[in-house]
Amino acid sequence: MNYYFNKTVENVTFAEVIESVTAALTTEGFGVLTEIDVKATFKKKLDVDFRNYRILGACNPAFAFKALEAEDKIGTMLPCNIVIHQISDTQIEIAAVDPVASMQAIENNNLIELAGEIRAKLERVIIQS
Amino acid sequence: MKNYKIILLLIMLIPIQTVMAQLQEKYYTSKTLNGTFEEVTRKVTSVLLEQGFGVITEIDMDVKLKGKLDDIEMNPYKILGVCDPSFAYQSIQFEENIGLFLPCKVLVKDLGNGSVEVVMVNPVVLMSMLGNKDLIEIAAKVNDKFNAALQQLQ
Repeated sequence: MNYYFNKTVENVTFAEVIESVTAALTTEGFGVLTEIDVKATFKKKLDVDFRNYRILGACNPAFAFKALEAEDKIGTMLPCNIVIHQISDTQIEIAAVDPVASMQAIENNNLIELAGEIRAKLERVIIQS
Repeated sequence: MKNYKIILLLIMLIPIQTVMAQLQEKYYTSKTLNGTFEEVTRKVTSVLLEQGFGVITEIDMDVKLKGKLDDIEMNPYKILGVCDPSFAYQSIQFEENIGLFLPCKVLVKDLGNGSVEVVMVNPVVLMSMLGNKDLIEIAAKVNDKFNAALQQLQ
């Protein structure tokens, strides 16, 4: 099952991509609440070399609040993640989780509509980045 | 001979029941404790650490939302992002975009009246949706450790 949407960008630096994704998230009303540098974490904890790989945890406060009102344990699926990772020397993939797919694990009809609206926003983020 | 057939039929039904159980599995497990929000948060962090999970992100959702939205009421609600680096590393080898589901989330929710609920995501449910057997296997190991942590929590 496809649980995300994505695109690949070329000939830009990793830092530039993070910047443009963050800007696109802001435009769509998302703040970045968490940022995990997976490469640095693997180096520190496991002493393995890994490619550039960043996980951004994004949250739109109004939608998050509505979701929490509809399902009090939805926090287990929050924030929505965006992954940015280096797939070759010149290529970087940007992927966003599809909240409609994740919501299938929870039987709550009130969430489906919200998840659809969030999906539309995250799709725009990927297009704009 | 008749008994033998019934037993055979029952044995044949076991795998079906197992699949049904997996489909009906909840996306979380939880436990409610008496104590303050801070005490329970400390205890959760400690039992998770004993099972090999470090807390790598922490969001006070109530504080964040109250800062952004007017006139809302919300009890303390913490989202902890917890990770066992070696499980994360294995998962990423099987599915390069698995970071979309990492770290695993553990909630600490103040219910008021002196009780606090701890909620741990069940990664098996999400990984079953992806249909990758290797990931389901790792998720099951993580889930066992989460359940052990929850049992230790008093």
